[in-house]
This record gives sequence, structure tokens and C-alpha cells, in this order.
Amino acid sequence: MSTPTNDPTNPLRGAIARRHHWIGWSALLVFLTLGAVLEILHGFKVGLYLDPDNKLRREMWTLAHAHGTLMALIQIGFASGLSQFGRWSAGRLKLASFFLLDAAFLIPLGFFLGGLFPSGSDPWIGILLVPVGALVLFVAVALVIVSALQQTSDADPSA
Amino acid sequence: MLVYGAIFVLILIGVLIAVQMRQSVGGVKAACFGAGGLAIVGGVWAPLEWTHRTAPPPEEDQTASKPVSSQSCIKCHPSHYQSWQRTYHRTMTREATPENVKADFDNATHHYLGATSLMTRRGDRFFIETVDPNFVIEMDKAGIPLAKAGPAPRREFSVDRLVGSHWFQQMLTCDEHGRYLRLPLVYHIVEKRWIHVQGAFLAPDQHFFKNVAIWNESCLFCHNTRPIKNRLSAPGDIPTAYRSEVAELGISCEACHGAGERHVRAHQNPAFRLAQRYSSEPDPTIINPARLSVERSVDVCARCHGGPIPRLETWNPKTYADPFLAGRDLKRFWRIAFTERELGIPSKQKSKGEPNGTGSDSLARHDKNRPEPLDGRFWGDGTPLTTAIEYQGMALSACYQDGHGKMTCLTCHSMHDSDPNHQVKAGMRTNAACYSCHAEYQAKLEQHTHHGADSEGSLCYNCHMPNQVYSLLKVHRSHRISIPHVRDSRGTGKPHACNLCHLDKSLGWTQDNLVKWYGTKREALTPDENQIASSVLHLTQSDARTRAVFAGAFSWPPAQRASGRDWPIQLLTRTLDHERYEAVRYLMYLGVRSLHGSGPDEYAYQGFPAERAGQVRKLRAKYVGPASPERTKLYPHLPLNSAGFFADNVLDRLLRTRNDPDVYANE
Repeated sequence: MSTPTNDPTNPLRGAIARRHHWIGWSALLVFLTLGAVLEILHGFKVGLYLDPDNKLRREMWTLAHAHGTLMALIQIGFASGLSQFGRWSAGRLKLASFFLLDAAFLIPLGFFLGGLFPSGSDPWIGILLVPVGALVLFVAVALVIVSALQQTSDADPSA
Repeated sequence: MLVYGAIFVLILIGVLIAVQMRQSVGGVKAACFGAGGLAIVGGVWAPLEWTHRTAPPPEEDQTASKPVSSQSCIKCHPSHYQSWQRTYHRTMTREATPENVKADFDNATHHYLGATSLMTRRGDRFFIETVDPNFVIEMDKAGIPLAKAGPAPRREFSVDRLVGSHWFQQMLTCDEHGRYLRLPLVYHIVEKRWIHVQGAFLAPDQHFFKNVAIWNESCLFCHNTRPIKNRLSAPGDIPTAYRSEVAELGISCEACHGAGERHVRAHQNPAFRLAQRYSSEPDPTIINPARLSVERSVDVCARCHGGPIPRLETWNPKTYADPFLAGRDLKRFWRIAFTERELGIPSKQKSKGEPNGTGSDSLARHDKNRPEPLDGRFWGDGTPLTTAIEYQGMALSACYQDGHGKMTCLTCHSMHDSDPNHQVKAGMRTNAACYSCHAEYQAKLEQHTHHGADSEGSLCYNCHMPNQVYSLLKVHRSHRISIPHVRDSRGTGKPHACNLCHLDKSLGWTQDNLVKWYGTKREALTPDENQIASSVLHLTQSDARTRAVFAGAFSWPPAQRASGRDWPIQLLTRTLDHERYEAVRYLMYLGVRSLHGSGPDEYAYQGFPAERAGQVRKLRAKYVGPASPERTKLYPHLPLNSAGFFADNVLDRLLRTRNDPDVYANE
């Protein structure tokens, strides 16, 4: 399922793959660091993070760490797979790339901000970034699937 | 402001995404994508926004709303739930499960009036086997004391529900008519021992089943949340059948915050929550007592801590569901009594078709056998003398009346941010509580109190909220914040604050000091009031209410330090011989234990007279020390002979003239 060498989007694919690799690995470093910070908060039993009253903050920051790490891995996966599969138009590829990067930024940041000043039951207003990030992530994933399906139909002589 | 900031950020992100789309797929497709995205976001949010904006305002009467249990509240208010979990309000009434039962059911036995009771556990169920009530009634009719009635038939009761978890745990059994009956044995948690319920209240006579109450008629209304009596059978039917309901056993969220159904429903909408969180207006769907007017705020507490009497004409006569909810005017549905007579007027409380003394009448706390004038809940000057009428104490206080609407129960108490024991806010157990309004005394504390600044005599509440309240085998602080005038202790039975600490001093001594320090008007006192220590006069001469409060003072460490520890044993053991109230005997003996470290089993305050007399003799022999002529100089207001012992002729004279009517304080 490798990309044909005469695909006109190859240079763009290469550029986008490099960008996603760079951002993905950097984000992984950031969110692994955040995980370590959370461990340290655990280790020193910091009330800001562990007190029962701060349960929601703990939950939000844990989600920020988990989603951030996952999104970083998705960037790396996307970059690694870009040369392997999918029939992309330049526009679709750019859009998928933009949206994946947006999601990688918005979702963990939303969770993190949501945990900054939570009330007893609800996160802080920064949580509103999460649904926006989720929406663009959905679109990006859909674009990837569409590209993959198109390549599959190209490869199928009966189609 | 924050919301506008958030909207601005979201718009910026939207613009960024639009630019990205335009760069990627061109303007037309970008516009289509954008419109689609906006349609999705708008399609989700708009109905939510519309729903909460068009919701009708909450109706005042939400008594018909579906009760909401604390399990619904924990989802959004976990810390409030946790703090409420710690309270004794929550555990006021519970089912008799192994987790909730604090009493000893490991084949424990208890003896009272010649009857032996056996407490057992089988699996997860608890039982009390005791004398058959019918037999007791028959013996009563025949005038035969239980102890002389011979072998009595026995009956086993299952323990199905519990009332109390702080001082006592009362046991309720449910019969086939849905009645929860209070069994005569209660567990005294403080002492970790079984006692007969007669000793838990201030009541004179000993009777095995006299204090068996019907929970559905009385306890239900103050010890549970949103109670509905639901009597099924016709008035006058005996036994009466019930299908009583509560939103939750014990005092839970809706008791203080009003009906919660609309609140829960509204807050399931994230648009409502978002709008509410950043609104400066209080949430219209729920009551926060701290945000109510002073009157409505104190009503929430007065509903139970004002010992109110129902205005049954405002109640649903079919269900007798309590129509009061937090935020409503309590006085529309319940009447607050400020005098003893107001507490027991059956004719005015009787609802249509109900005979005296049955059904809802008992809600009015009337018992035709109770002598109204001494239904001991108020001192002669109107100050409450039992618990559960703390509201009246506060309402009579100048701090409340002249406090310019500043003082509510929540000024000193907090339900979610306090020690569960008395639920006093942090810092409010010190003078700081009073300085918040009376700052001028901070700089001149000693000048005002004439006591050392760090002494008990300089704690505002020791003089202005003294331990003048009796209930539950304890003395408690008065909630009537007042200036301790000598005139209020003359002929009212109310002990003077100074003499509750200075137990060895007379009221005359107190008056001399108050005149000297504050220039108060001098009252005409009797020679005994001038010369004999108040504690001695009252323990020998006054009725059981005053005796209980003074007896309680002897185990109060500040009073022991101020009054000396080497003489009370003489007075306490002497008056124990003459004490017919079990509760007062308990408090007297508590004083002996506290002063001399004697064991709880050295005196059986619920025992037979002969048994008790023998125990008192032993206590005297063991703890009354040798002669000490110096005591006559140390304690000039104690009627001591030259050897430093109490003069029998004086005590005999005082005891002979004791005013000892029957008094009841069933709280």
C-alpha cells in the first residue's frame, strides 16, 4: 500500500510528515513531562492535586496528560503512515494535518485549563476548548479514513 | 467578563480554523465546512440554552415535588456531601443495620425495676427480649410493683430502626401496623452502656413502658427529611396504622436546601450550569440558607430547633405531609412557643374530627397527664432550659433583636465547615466570635470581666451563654445571649452564670461583685441567698430542672478549678440520698466520678433505693476526707461545721423545704 512514486502530493506529504513528526515527538516530551509532574504531585502528596476537594482538578489534569500523550502518538502515527497509505488531494491532506494539530493542542489544553479553577462539580470554562478540539479531530480522522478508502478502491480492479 | 473572554477565544479559534480550511480546500468548501461545524455546535447548544432560558420560575410551593436523596447531590457536590456525611444530623435516624448499630447486642443484659432485658444479635438483625408490656399494664392496674410481681412473661422485639447516634441510640421496633415504637431500653453512647429510657429524660416516676413513644407521631417530624405521617386508619382507631414516608432518614440535603427536584433537573443542562456559574444572581432552583433573609434563614433551623407546634389547619389532613420547606415562612405552618403554656394547648391545635390526645394532637406535644405549668422547657424568665428550642434562646437575645439583621444561626454554626460536635464554625469557640460585633471589649477584656484575660472567666460565652440548659443527661450552653442579671435568677429557678462556675459562692456574693463592678441595681435577697452557696441552696431546695443544671456543673472542669474539689463529695452524696430523678442522680454521680475518679459501676443511678443508699454510704466512706477546719475559712458560703463538714442541721432544714413538683423535660 505504498504511495506511487509519481504521486504529485509526495513533496507535500514529506513536508507534512516531517512537521507531524517534529510536533508529535515534541508533544510527547511535553506530556510525558506533565505525567512526571503529576507523579511528583502524588509523591509529595500535594493537596492542590490530591485533596478530596480537588478531585475534579486531578481528574482534569489526568485527562490532559492522557489525551496529550495519545494525541502526540497520533501525530507520530499519522506522520509515519503518510507515506504508506491513502490517496490524498493536497487540500484534504492540508486540512487533515491542520485539524490533527489543532486537536493535539486544543484537547489537552482544554482539560488542563478545566482543572485550573474547577468548582465542586464543573471544570473551569477553559474546558470549552475540548469539544472544539474533539470536533476537528473527528473531521481529521474522517478525512484520513476517506483517503484510505479511496486508495483501497483504486487498488481494487473490480471497483 | 470571563464568559466574554471565553467567547472571544472561541471566536479566535474559529477564525483560525476557517483560515486553515480556506488554505486547504478553498473558500467555498471552507464555508460549507464552517457552516456545517457551526450547525453542529449550534444544534447541540441552542436547545439547551433555550430550555433553561424559558424554564418557568420555581413555584413557592414545591411540597408536591419528588424528593431528591443525597445520592443525587453527591454527583455535583462531593465535598458538601462528605462534610454532611460526618454530621450527627445525617445519622439522626437510620435503619438498624450492623454498620449503624452502636449498641452492645452481644447477649448484653440490663436490669431495671426488677425486669431483666436481654439484647441479642442473630445474623444482621438485632433483638431486645424484655418483660411483656401487657403484663406490666396488668400489674399496674392491680397496683403491684414489677419487682414484686413474680416471674413475668417475656416478649422479644426486633430492633428495626435507630434514632440518635451522638449521645444516645434509641431503638425502634416496627409492628404490623407500620408503627415504629420506641423500646424502653436505649444505649447511652457516652457511657457505652444500656440504660432505661426513663433515665435519659428528666422525668420523676419510674415506669417500665411509660416513655414508649410512637415514632410516626413525633420523632418523624424533626429527625428526618420531608416527613409524611400518612396515617391510614380513622382517628381514634387503636392501634393506629401508618404508612409514613420520608425523603431520607435523618437530616439530609433537602431539610436545609428545600425541594431539590427542580434543581437537579435544571443542572443536568450544561448551558444552565454555565450560565449559573458565572452569574452574580443566586441559583433560583435551590435554597441556600446563608443567602436567605435573617428570618427565613433562622426558620430553617427553627423548624426543628424551635420545638414548633404544627398549625394543622394549614396541613393536608389526609397525609400530614410537613408543608414547610426551607425558604418558606415557618410560622405559616408551625407555631413557635415562647412559654410553657404555649407548648401545650390541645384544644387550639386539634384538627377537625380528631379526638384529644390522639393522632396529630400528639404532634402538639400535649399529654393530658403532663402538668403544664412545669412542663420544664423554659426557666421562669423565659430562657429555654432544654435543647431543641435553641431558636427561642437566640430570638430572645439582644444580639439577634438589636443586631441589625446580622445574626443568624449561621453566624456561629456551619453545617459543612465545622466540627460535627455542635457544628460550631472554626474560631467561633473563642472571644473572636463576639469581637466581630463587640470589638471594643477586646482592648479592655480584663477591665470588663475582672478575670484574667486567659482565664475561663474572660471567655464571653461563660458569662453570656452559660451552661443553663439540660437535656440528654448533659448540660449545654444557653443560646439566649444575655447579661447575667441577679434578678433573672430570683424566683425563676435559673442558675446565675457566676454561680455555675463559683459553686462555693452565694447569689449575694455574686450580687456584691456585680454591683461593685458594673453598678447594677441591687436586688433584695433572702438571708439564705446571701449566705449560702447557690449550688447548695438549689441542690437541696429547687425543683429537678435547677438541680439537674447545678448537678451538671460539678463535673465542669472550670467550675472545679474555681470552686475547689474537696467539698462537693459531701454535698453530692448527701443530696443523692434525696434525689428522685434518675437523670439528676446521674449528673450528681458524674460530678463525683469527675472529682474522684470513681468508676461508673460504683453507683447505679437507675437502681433500687436500698441498693443506691448502700452505694452512697460506700462512696462517702471512700471519698469524703478527714476533718478540715480550714475549709470553713476557705469556703465562707458553704454551711460547714467547725470540722469542715457540711452542717446536717442546715442541710436538713433546706431539704425539708425543697420545692419538688413533678417536672418533665422529654428532650
